[in-house]
Amino acid sequence: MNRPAEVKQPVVPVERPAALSTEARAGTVKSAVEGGADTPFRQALREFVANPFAVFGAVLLTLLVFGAIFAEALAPTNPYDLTKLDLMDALQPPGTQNMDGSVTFLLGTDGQGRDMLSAMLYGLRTSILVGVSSGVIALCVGATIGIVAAFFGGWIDSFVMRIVDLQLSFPSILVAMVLLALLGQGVDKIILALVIVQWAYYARTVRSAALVERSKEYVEAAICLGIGRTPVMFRHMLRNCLPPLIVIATVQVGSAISLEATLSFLGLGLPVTKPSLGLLISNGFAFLMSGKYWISLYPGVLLLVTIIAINLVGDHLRDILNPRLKR
Amino acid sequence: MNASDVVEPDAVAGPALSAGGAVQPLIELAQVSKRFGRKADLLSRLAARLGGRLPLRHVHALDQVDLSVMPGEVVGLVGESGCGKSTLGRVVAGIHQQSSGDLFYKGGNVANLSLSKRRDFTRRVQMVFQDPYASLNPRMRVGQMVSEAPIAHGLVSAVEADDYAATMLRMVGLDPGLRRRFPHQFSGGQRQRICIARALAVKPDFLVCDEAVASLDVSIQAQVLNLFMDLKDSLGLTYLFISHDLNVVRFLSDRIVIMYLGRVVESATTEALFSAPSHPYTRALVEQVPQLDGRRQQFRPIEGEIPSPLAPPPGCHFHPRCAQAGPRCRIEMPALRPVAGGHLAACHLYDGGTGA
Amino acid sequence: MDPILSVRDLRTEFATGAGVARAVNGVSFDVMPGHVLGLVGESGSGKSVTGFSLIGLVDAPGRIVGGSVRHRGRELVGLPQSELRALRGKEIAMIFQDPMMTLNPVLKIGTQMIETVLAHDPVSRQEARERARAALGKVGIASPDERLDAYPHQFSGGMRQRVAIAIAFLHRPSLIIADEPTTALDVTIQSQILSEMQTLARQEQTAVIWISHDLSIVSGLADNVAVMYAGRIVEHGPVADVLTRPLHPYAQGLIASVPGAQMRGRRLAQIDGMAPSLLALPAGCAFRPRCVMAQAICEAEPPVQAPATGRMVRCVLPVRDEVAA
Repeated sequence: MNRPAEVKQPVVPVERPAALSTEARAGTVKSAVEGGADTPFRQALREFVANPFAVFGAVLLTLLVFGAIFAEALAPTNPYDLTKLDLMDALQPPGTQNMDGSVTFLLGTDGQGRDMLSAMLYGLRTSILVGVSSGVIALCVGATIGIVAAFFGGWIDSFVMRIVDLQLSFPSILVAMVLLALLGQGVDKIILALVIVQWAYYARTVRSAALVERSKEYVEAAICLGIGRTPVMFRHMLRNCLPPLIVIATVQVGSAISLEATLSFLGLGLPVTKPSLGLLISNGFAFLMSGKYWISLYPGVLLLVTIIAINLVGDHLRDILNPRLKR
Repeated sequence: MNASDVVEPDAVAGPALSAGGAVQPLIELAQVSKRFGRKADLLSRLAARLGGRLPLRHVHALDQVDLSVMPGEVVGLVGESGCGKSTLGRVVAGIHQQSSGDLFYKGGNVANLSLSKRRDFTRRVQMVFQDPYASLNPRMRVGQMVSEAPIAHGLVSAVEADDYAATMLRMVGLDPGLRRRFPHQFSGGQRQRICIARALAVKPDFLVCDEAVASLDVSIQAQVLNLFMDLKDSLGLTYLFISHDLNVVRFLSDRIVIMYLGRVVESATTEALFSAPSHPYTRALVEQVPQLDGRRQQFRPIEGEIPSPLAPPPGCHFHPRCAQAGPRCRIEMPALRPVAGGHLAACHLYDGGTGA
Repeated sequence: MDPILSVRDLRTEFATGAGVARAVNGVSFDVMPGHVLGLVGESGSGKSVTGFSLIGLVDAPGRIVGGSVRHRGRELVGLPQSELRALRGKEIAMIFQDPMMTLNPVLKIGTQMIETVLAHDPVSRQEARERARAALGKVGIASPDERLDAYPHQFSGGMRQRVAIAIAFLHRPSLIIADEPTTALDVTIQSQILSEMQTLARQEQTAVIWISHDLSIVSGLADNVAVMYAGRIVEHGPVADVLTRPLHPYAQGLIASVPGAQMRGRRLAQIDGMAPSLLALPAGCAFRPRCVMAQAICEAEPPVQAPATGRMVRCVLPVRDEVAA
């Protein structure tokens, strides 16, 4: 009696249409309700808010971004004001006060006597700045290339997609390291390196979404109406490729931040004058064995929390925006 | 009243006829073919060189099709799936480029048009699609969609666009107050009206309707068909009405063209086609038109499946399903030739016999 | 003769975010053995939900809230799913618009058909295969032996629908519910399927409920027709009578709006407006806002009239004498 349920009787497959027809019906019911219908955006928002993990991630992410933007106002000290630094404050454990008792180092200090909490807020700002700006630039580049490839097809498509395949077949960390070795240090350099390793993900995502849109009648209609190619691509098709693009952008910003941290940790990324979280971890690494755990640990935890928050939001966005995962 | 009364309806001839004729066809196709499929790429050519036998996947969606439509005429294009009727519509509407053959607009070959004339042709020939859900951009407001193309063509300025969209929506029987809504807030019939408004907004004179009422409910279908009729009269439009439903086509068309697997098999005035269908395939289709007389029908279907357009049968494509097929039908492709005045069919029965 | 299926005041509702949609709102009809009932309506009329409700296939948020469905005298509403399952596929079979609803894409047609036989009948595998082979032959599939070893994707749409029909007839059910099975098919293939369905149903004395939006298909196939509007049957009767002398204004409009041979060049009769939202049905007769003959009295629940044997109409308009005669 252990036969596959589907064949045992045509009953199990029979159940599916009921569900489908219910869905279809919900559709007609919805469209029949004049005016009060939900926009797709509002519907997605409602679904997002319904998930506690997603909300938790979003709140966390908002707090982190807020902390990064207002780092100067929030940080107890300016860790890069050399006149305020005192080597006597170096390597103090969390909770110590500074020499004249004006500041309490909640998370301790590093080898130069910098307040870790302040350094972390500044570092978070650098990390997020690098991650988001490289993500946005890579998105613009990748989306443009991807949509052009999908729209024109043929050899343009094959050519672009082979480059994408080539790019994606190398580990991004390796490519980034080679690029930085060539380019040297600097915020602009690392953003450039991150754009180069990331654009291919966006291009591939947008291309596959745009291929689906390309075959839809509204694109044919737009072509038939004599609307130019550029508006058809960017005003019509790109808008409908947004859901997967939003998802991949969130996830990619997370991975850009961690990639930058790795590179900085290895000493390849940012200059010491503009330390990101990765560089902070690296700075504390030497002291880890001597029991001065806080210099590496707290930036590490902050990095972890940031990436988890981004991924929580990204995962749930994917669940909501990907129709295939919907039951 | 309609052009087919005035013009000799045996218009499925080459461009030679139109040159001397009094009235020029609005749209004319001469020996138009359309093949889909990829050219052999490097890898498959290499594989072929090494002795691998990779099938060349060419679909002959259109196979040397001749068709002409007179100004003010309504031509119905009927066929089953894979017959190429939608491809034909898209070639005429400029969405697909034909692989070979020529497309003429008011006697001028579209391929030789200057850039500005070509843009004018693009605007003058519009299309209404089957699926009113897929053919509207879900993320654009209705008014914006209707006025986008007129702005692009310089028919209205961006300032007048909103009023213009309202006018167009009113013309197709929609409340212009709804123009700031998104497509998902409309029913199927309303969406199809929006599609019509969008197409008419660029002031076309030729409208390709590809199964434009097939997805609508019967009572809504009647509304949209009436709208098509009204618009034809008030705007002097010419239609190529593509459908699988002979009942719908019969209602609208002056002339009907039947296609089977990429070829035109019969072309006649609506009256002639229904009173004296010539091609065996047409006869079968006409016989199977469902009637609403409530009598229990004895269905007498034609045998067999529609062959795959990837591997159409040789000779006459219809011969494997044809009761009257003879040896000649299996070898020789029948040409479209007159069986009566203005009535053309591509069948060896009217062309010296099937060789049986 | 007793009816195979007797439906009384069936009600199915869908609880949506915006309110309760009464998809089936008091539907009653009988199906006699060997008869074909055409259930006709436009989208949202509740014809498919009616079909699904008959055999308990309504998923949440849908729910059968009342009424009775009796199959050979046995009440089906409220029956546990296990017993309904035993009934489905054997006594009552279903055919869908998309045959892939019944066919599993990764299993051979033969395997699926044999399992279907074995699910209800204790026969040997060999015998089950023999029955499957015979069933394929009956629906006009050439070389059924080879076809048994093919996968669904190797069939065309029309062939798949034939296989689905063959599966439906495997256990010689007393009733088949067919939900728009020919809608997605080409005209010539559609008439092949209709012809096979007609022959089989006649041979096996199977009753059929044929759900369709297309009056003309039902016209050629059915004995009786029920026209649904907004969850209710508004007119019911023998096909020839209803189609030639429709009584309900909606049925009249529907029949008049089919583009037929006689109307070329003239305007089609059309029903203005749209079907109402099931969430906000107008009081009284649901067709009232679109009805050209609507009066104040239509705001009350329309009475059910039976102007002749076997005919029913849900309308206040007086039925003309010629019909009753």
